[in-house]
Amino acid sequence: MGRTIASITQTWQEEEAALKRFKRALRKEDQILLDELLVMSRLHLAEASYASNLYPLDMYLIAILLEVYKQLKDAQRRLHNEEQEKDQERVEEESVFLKLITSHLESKQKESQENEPAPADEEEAPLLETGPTCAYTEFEEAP
Amino acid sequence: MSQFRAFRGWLLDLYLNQQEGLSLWFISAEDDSRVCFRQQFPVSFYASGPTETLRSLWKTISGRPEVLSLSRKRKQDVFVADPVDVMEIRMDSPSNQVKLFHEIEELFPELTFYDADLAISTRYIARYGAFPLALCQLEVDQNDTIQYIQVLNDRWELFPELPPLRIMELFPDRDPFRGTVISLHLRCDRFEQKLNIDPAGKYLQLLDQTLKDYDPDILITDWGDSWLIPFLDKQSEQKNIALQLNRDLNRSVRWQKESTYFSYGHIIYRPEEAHLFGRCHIDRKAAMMWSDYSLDGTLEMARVTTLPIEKAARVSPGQGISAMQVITALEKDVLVPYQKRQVEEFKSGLELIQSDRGGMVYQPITGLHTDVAQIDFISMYPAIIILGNISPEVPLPDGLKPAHEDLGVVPLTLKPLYDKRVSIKQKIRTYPENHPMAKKLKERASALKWLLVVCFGFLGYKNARYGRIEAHEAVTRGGREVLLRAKDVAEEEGFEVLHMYVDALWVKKKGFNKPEHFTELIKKINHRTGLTINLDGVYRWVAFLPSKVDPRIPVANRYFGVFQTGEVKVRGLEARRRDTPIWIAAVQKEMIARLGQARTKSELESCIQDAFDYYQEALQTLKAGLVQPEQLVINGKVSYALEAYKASTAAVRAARQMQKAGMTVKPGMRVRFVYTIGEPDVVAWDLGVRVEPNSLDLNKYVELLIRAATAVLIPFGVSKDILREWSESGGLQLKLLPSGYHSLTKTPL
Repeated sequence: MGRTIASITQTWQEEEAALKRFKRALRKEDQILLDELLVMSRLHLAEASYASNLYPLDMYLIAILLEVYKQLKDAQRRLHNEEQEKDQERVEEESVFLKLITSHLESKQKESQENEPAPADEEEAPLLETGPTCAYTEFEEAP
Repeated sequence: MSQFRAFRGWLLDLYLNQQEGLSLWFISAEDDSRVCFRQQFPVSFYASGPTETLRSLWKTISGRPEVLSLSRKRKQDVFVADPVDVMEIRMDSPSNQVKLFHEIEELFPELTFYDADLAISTRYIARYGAFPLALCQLEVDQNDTIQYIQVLNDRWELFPELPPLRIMELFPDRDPFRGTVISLHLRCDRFEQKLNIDPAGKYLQLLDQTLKDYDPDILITDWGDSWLIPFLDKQSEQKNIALQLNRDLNRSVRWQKESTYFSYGHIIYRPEEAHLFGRCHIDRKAAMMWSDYSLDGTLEMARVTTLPIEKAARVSPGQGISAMQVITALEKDVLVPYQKRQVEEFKSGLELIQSDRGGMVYQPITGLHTDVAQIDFISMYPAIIILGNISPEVPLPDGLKPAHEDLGVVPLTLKPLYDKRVSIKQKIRTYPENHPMAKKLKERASALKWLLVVCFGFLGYKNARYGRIEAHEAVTRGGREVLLRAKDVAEEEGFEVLHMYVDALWVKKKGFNKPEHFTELIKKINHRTGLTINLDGVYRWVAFLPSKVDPRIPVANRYFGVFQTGEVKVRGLEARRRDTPIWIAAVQKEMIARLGQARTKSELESCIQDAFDYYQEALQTLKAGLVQPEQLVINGKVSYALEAYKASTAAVRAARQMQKAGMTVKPGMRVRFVYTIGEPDVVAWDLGVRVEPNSLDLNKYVELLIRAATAVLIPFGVSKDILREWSESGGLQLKLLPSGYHSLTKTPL
């Protein structure tokens, strides 16, 4: 309706039309991907309009980059979360294992204490006397 | 003893009178009588230009009896910094002024004319302050000529003293373009009378007698302009039975020519108009905004714009705002140019790209959202015009900061209008929801709203006297700035901005679901922008819909939701479109209403089922042919002359049928039709041909129904294809998906 300057949607349509021949020459699977990229650029039409850039295509490319980067970050976040979950599982498995070893060692120590006579006061302290606060527990907390 | 008598009453109608200048009809405040007075009304207009040309103009017109005086004056042209030298031509009457102006305009085309084409009502208010329904104190001589007039109230009073209007309604028993009218209904106050259209014409006598006895001030009709008054006129002539529709017995009905014009991207057709003298005729079917603001809004429009009541009911609000701007200029003693001489300033390509922009329209985050607040700026563009002092004749603001202290013509016109609307809206809140006074006030506020809305549009209209494209651009620039500031504040406060649309924002924040939770945000936005933003409401849930063509693309103005009050809000859906058949629109509305019962997201599950069940029932009813054809009429439109169409749409095919049957089809006219089986595939509804339910093309209507139902169900994961598949094969049930959204799966047969 009496526009001097094409609206942002009109310029988007022009850019899309300009890609027509390029798109036609693409393989089918690439055509689908290109369509998806173009949809991404449409998500920021208001911002592109506000930018009033002489070359609106620049804004559409930035919009595509932004959306692709968003997806990348999202994928990274999900991947990171999955790794964290795996780490957590591993830590839990290790902790169970360590608990088993600790309790095994404790029971062994108890057995040996029961079998041997009480040491004299001046005798050297046994090597594994520290009990539950031994190095294994510290190791357990490390990750 | 004084030779003048005093009179107190309300001004009802005012028009030109060839002999005495003006005829003015008043409703007496003392004895309820209706009185016509006359008034001498000399008027002036101005010419400026080269001295020699002005001299030859003086030679041409001096000495003529209708020219009272010619003098040299210095006056202010609104678009020129310094006063200009003008010749004042003082005429004995407005009708002689119009004649002389057209004569000299042809003789001296190089001259610039001012105050030359002003409406008589505009001139009158500028001089005496009297407007439609103003309470006036008069002094009248023995010849019923007004010698003195004082107006006792003004246009901006919230509760002015108004006259007890006598209102008569007259309407046919059916749509005259769809069938033969058997009788007319006549309603005055609480009394109603049916007038059978008898061959002897007794109904004409009865109507004439009622008009004499009841003597209405306002005659409200249906199809009065396009059918009723021409029909009555013709019948009265054929049967030789007098029927006086005018209060002024010396006048006959004045016909204003039909027209087609372009407005806001639409071609609009306005049929011929029947105007009366001494009383007002309002055709509800031709009154543009009747459905929006009814009689109270129309009277408010007439009061503030000073347009005659009959005109205020029919014309677009643009003409009203234009008249108001002229009055402001006249009150400031500024000349009103006959033709606009300002042209668009030169701009570089980049400047043009930067300035030729509208409001910010974002792409919403599609899907279903809960606990969302919608906040709107109150009359954003008018508020920016006032705040930034944006007017064509003053320097434009830098951003929102005004560049000039004294208000220009446009903000000066808008300010009282804006203040009055805000006061009325505040007053509405003091009444309970269904109070009759609240309804009246809402209608008045709606009329003022339209005036404020078009005022911005008129700044950019090339033919508007006070239009200037740079001023229009300054307003949209201010609008974008304000919206972005509001977004900044919302994000700083930790809100997620789901959508922004010119003057509205949809925001949400975890744990925020009561109106008071948003008070602080509103306060901060008000402070940052200098404009008033208001909480429209908090949605229990709102769904932003994707494009019908590509579901991956969001659409800015296609959404529906339910406020915490239970009020449903729908925008851009089929139910809001004028061309949707009323039955389809009703089904869609009911589906949304059923969804609206859900108070929480978990309650939505059963409500979706309920809405879907309703759709199933509707579909079965439609397929069984149980929907009457009149419920399935599509209200199409032709925008161009029929010959201009290369491809013929359904509306055009229907319009061609009408043209073939001898009916007039003009660009901008609405064309009603139904889809039928075989040839022709459409039937124009206004042909009056009986359409049997079994001849309807039900497949087309099933498609329309599926489209309408998909819009409602798509936020819950139900696509058009699923609905269509079901419609063709039958049998689906809802199944809850882990995400909380719903999908439809086929039931085992």
